[in-house]
Amino acid sequence: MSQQIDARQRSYVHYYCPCPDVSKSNNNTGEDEEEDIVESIPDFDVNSPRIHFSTFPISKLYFCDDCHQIRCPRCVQEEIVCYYCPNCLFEVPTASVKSERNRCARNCFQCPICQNTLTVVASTEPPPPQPSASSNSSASTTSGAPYYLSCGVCRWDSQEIGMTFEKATGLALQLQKTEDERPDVKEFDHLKDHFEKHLRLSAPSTTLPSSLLSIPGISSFSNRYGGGGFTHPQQKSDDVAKYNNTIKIENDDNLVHDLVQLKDVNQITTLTQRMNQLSDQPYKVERLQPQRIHLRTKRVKRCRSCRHILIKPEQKAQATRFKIKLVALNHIPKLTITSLPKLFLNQSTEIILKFSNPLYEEIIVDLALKKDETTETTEYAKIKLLAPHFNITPYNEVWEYDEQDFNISSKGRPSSTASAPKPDIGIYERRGNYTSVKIEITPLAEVDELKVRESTPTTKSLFFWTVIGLGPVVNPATVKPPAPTRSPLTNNNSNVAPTRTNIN
Amino acid sequence: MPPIMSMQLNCQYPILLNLANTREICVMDNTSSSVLNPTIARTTASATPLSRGIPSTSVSSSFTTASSLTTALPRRHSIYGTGEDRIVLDIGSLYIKAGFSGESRPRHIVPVFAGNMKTHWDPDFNGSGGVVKACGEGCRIIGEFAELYDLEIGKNPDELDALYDRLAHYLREIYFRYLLTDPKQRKVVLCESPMMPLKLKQLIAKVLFENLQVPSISFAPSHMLALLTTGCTTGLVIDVGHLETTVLPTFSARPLTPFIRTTPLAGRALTQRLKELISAYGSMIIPPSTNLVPVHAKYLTPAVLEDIKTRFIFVSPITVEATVGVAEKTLVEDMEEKYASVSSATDVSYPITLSKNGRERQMGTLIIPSWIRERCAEVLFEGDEDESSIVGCALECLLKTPMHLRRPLFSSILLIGGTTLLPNFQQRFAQEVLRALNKDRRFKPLSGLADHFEFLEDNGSGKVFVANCRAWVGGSLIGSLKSTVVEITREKYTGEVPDWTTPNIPSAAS
Repeated sequence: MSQQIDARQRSYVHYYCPCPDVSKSNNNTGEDEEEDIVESIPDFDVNSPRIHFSTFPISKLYFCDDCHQIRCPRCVQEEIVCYYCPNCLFEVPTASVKSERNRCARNCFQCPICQNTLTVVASTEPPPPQPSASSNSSASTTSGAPYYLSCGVCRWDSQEIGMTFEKATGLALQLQKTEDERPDVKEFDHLKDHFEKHLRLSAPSTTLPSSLLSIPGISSFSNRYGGGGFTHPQQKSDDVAKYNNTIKIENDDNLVHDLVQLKDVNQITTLTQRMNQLSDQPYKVERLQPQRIHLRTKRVKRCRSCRHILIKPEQKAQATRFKIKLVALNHIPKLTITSLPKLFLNQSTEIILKFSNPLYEEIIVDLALKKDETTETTEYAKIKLLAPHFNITPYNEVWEYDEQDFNISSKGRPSSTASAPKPDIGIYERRGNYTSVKIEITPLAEVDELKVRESTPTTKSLFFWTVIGLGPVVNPATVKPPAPTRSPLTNNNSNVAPTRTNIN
Repeated sequence: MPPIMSMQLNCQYPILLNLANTREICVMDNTSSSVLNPTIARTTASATPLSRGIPSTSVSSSFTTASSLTTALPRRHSIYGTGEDRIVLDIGSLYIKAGFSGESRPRHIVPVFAGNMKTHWDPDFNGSGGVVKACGEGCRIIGEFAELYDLEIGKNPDELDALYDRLAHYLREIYFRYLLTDPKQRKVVLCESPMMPLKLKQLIAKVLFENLQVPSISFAPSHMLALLTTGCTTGLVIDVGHLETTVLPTFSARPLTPFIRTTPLAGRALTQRLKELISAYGSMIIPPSTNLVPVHAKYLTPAVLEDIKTRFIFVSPITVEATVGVAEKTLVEDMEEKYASVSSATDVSYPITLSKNGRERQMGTLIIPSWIRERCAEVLFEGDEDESSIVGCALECLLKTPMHLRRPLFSSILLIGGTTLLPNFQQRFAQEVLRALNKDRRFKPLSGLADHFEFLEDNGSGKVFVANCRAWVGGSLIGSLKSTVVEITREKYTGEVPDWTTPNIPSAAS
């Protein structure tokens, strides 16, 4: 049973976007495009690994009105509208984004262990009584005491590393000073000054041609070195001894010792934890520090060829609506698999695809497997389209509320007893604004993932491939009583059918 | 430097040199932002001279005299980052390091795992056998933890396209979700290894120019950049990465590229050895039973191995009892008897995912024997004729360099690359070098150098920059200096990228 659910979960319909050709198609004139699209459709290879990057579920696609094409996340141009902190939803002005290194400048921190948000907590216990610092104790009892950060998920808190704050606000500012004092920052500035000075000194030299060609890149940089050639055998100026800013004492001995005697795996940082603290990338968990939360952006997306805006969000960080929202869901028919029985080897099964029409006009759909054929036999399956040509009635909001729809359903085969005026072969159901058609599949090989492709031209000559994943193919001879799969990495076997849909 | 040296170099490496062209190529371009220093703009594929000085100025128009720079250079970034800062990228096969120039560390290190992409295992990986995979050979690329590229690119025609897709995906993510900047505004500095496949360079350039539309790219050699972060310009830089170890000597800011040496013993070999050892000698506990069972290879996914490698493996000093001959490698079968008895470490119980059903995970425990943790890294230090060990590679490189350069190079050794972050790596490396100088006949000519062995970091500021970021930090240094570097602009991009392997094409000075 769970396997069946898995199969249904793993079936999908993805749409293909030929975006890399955007720049090339600019060369064609407008009139040619239609013909080009319909005739010279590149044969779509379902099984190439590239489809993973070029096919998308319909929820991720955009649609450009001008060019009348699908646009995918890969081929839109993005421009940043605003920066905001995902935790406090504060809109950060663009000017200070760079100086704060794309991090929130307020009180938002990330747990170094589990990367969840930290909360600022006031420690209510009074500090241990210190006779010499009477003012200290009085201050702490009156004000909120030293504040510290605490994680609600993994129960880490910053007192473990001795990080406490005096005030509850402006925490980032309080940490700013220590960040500036870090040895690598200071060393870097020092190096930069050193080389700048060197470049400055050796700039106006005139020397003989080079003595060694090498990798291009920093040649001009090194041209400045030791200005003189044969005539001025001056010392290489970077022989000026480097300042020893800080020598990182190699506490490797301790580290190796700890590793040798390691008992608890949780004492050593994972890669994710280390990548969050790039200044020293520590091995030990005690040396991890909370980082400020990384900002996010709201972006405007444009079509690449016509520069039309496809998505325009609202400026405010809290608002989730869009001013302009040209998404594919509202323009091209949505394909879903409504019935997917288990696929057995060499047994022909029917699956039902539902096409729903979001437009207010009727659309005519032509399905084809490749080059206008309705049956195809690949090495993996034999596919037959039972309804290659049909129309879908337009969308009407009324139908959302009205269950009683006129039902022009003729269940498939011509042997229906319903008195339908026209025998609609292969059409399973036509209701409201959608039509369901049948496709017959005979799997010929026991595959993990069977992919089928279809093409559908439309009247407005919008045309796209879709890939339909159908789930695993089981060999009935080897079917055992259902047992949960053991291997942790079983592939979702899905038959992917590329379908080309032309929408008219 | 005595003038003699450069003359010698001139004679010995005429292939690289095309003196005549250097004059024409250098153009003083004063229209760029840096008014103070003359800049060289090169637009077509040609090797540029890393020369001692600026080639003769007879061709150039005006030279701005180096009027005084403002001495008080602002240390902080300008508040209004007006695009003077460049993006610095170091694209490795497992991780991409990205950030802004002028900063002392990369902003992000992005792992290039395929992550939640579909997994296509080897047919016999699960032991099921006989299952037809409905995908072509190219699918290997999009595994769960596939490297971005391999050393031999282009064997498979699909591979380049898939690589383009992956690169585009990661670079877009880096720009729009990590760096949060508009790619069209900022120039790019790319840190590249001299042995980076040319096709990969072209693909990266293609992604950056066509998909992201960056204004210009400069390629910079990563060994050279790493050396700059120590303040020295002479040194033997050993980059132990994932796919291969590359050794490049650099003298007075000139990378001596003909002497470069590589060996495939690097991170990937280490992971492979770790997998073999754990499969052979590790054990697992699969609940609900509490017995120790042998490890099935399918649980050792690349992600798990990478996790174990980066957390629990360390390098031990040489033991007297278990030394290996000069050109010998210890086989996996022999390792236990050699090392198990002399180990002093603890076994580690590592929680491992057995299966994942939607949200539920079944966890088991993997027991990693102590001696595996200690001795797995031996594979890096044992080499033979086909694959030199890391130390062997470095010393062979030194043997190729001219004699008078060897001593300064030997006293300035720099280890960079992610694999060198293994604890105790540096000490062991030093031990192995001295041992090789004593024992290995091939390196007899070098034995006189034994007393002069030194790491650059020990002399200078130590491990102030983490080894896997050093090349990036060097790129950031370059990007932040006022002099521009050789760059390709988007308008002049034709699909070719400058590389030291391509012949020097005299270009029309722009």
